[in-house]
Amino acid sequence: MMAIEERLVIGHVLRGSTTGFVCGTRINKLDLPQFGAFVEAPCGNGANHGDAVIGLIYAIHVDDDPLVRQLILADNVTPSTREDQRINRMVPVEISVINVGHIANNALRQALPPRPPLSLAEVEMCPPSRMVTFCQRFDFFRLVLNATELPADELLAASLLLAADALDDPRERSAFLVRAGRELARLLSRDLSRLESVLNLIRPAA
Amino acid sequence: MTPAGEPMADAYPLPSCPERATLVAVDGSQIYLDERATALYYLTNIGVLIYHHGADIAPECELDPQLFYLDDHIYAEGRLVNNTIVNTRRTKFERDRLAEAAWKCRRDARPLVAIADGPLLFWVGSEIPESEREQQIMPGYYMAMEKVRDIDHLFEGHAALVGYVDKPNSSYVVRLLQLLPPVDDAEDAEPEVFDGLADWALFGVTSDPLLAPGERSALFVQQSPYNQRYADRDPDLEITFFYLNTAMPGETPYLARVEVPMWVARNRELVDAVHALVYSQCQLYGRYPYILARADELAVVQGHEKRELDNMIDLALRRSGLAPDEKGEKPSGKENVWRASRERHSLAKGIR
Repeated sequence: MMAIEERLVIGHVLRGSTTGFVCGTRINKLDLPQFGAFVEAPCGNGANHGDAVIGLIYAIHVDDDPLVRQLILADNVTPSTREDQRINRMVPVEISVINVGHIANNALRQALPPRPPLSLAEVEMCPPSRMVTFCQRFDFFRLVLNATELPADELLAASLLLAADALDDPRERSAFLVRAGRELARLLSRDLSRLESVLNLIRPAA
Repeated sequence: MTPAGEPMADAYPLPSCPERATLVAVDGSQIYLDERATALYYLTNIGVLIYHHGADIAPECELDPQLFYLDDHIYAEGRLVNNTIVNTRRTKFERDRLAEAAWKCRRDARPLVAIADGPLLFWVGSEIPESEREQQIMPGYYMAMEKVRDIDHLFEGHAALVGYVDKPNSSYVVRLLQLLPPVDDAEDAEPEVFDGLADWALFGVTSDPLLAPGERSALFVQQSPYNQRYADRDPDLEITFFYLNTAMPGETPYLARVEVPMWVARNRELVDAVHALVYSQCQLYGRYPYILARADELAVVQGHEKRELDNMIDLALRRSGLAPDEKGEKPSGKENVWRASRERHSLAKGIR
């Protein structure tokens, strides 16, 4: 029997498009989301139950405000003032996501979604089973590698390492990364220095 | 003149700060009554912050928004309440909430310092109806002070009430100097030479300040009929004050007036605790107490929040079949549409 995976909501959609979206959250919820993580959010207005956008976190921004700037200028931050900022004040945190796939009619597709997630839609971490299923194909590599204005190589490498971690068997993890490396070699055959850089990023630690 | 018998011209160095303390701060904001609005109302919002000094935990935040729309609230002696009346009532609510929050903390770490933004010496002018002034506002204000005093007297002591006045323009000490006999070589000096001179020029003048950063002046008592009323009510309530240079070491002077009631002024240990804790708070935020800055942030009602409230009231009236008067001096339809700010984030927490 399959274990029921816990839903891990990390925030809500602030704004979005078919290519990506931005999720707002509070600073005290920042333990879960990380660079390269797979996330999902309901697609469109929810008329088709289960339709969702799947994306990768490529940036996490912690905004400032006049009070934070003043505290830094005063150069006397104490544990109490720090906790006050993080727990009581709504210090805004923005999580930027690039769309790499979507679920439509229970089918997983590695392509841009037909509709973006709407404002205030819940954004949650993809459960390990979803990451494993999603990464059985590598069509989403092209979406990431062709993206501009984001650290594409580092993002793809980080997401692959997280997807590998979702596999239980170390041999499966190794085989997955080798397979991903081969796909990267195919896609970046005309840019060997870039290929080397990405492969170095996903190489298992010695 | 100085309740603790302190020499007037002396500067008092920064005492060591208590390792643990409880600070309670309050500030208030309001939406004034608008005669042209769809519905007649005014709103007060009080922000309270409880800061556990030395405990390394997050402070506690409280908000107390109140909407006033009943005839008893919005009319005074048959006329709509003006801004002065709203301000006066808000000040009284602030001190009520401060006393309640301090009472809630009466068993927390001592010293306990309850801080309000603005002077403690509060008086109500003739623009407030006499019945409200004499039967509600001033008695309520005194009772709030007495509640904090009771924490000091009935429980473990070391409970202070503080009024914090940033960048004061007062000239209480200068006026005192006017009463001194002229020195020998200035027999012809006229009292007018003091005109326009404020106390900050004595204590915080940039070139050679009387108070170095962290130092306070002697404690003074303001001699006025208003303060006499406090003393007549109870000698513990008479207001005293000292000036404090809240600048960081090496910075140009920055003066605050710190007001405390007589029960605090008589207790040198408590005065030292107030002195050190207020200065410590100023160092967190840079010249101004952090807790007051946060209480103000909690309390303030911003323009877009007022518009949202007006919109909610409009909507509720329409749903009840009480459509706003289309012929009144309401904003045009275009102006009256929902105008949520396009800013992506707000620091709003409840009503600010």
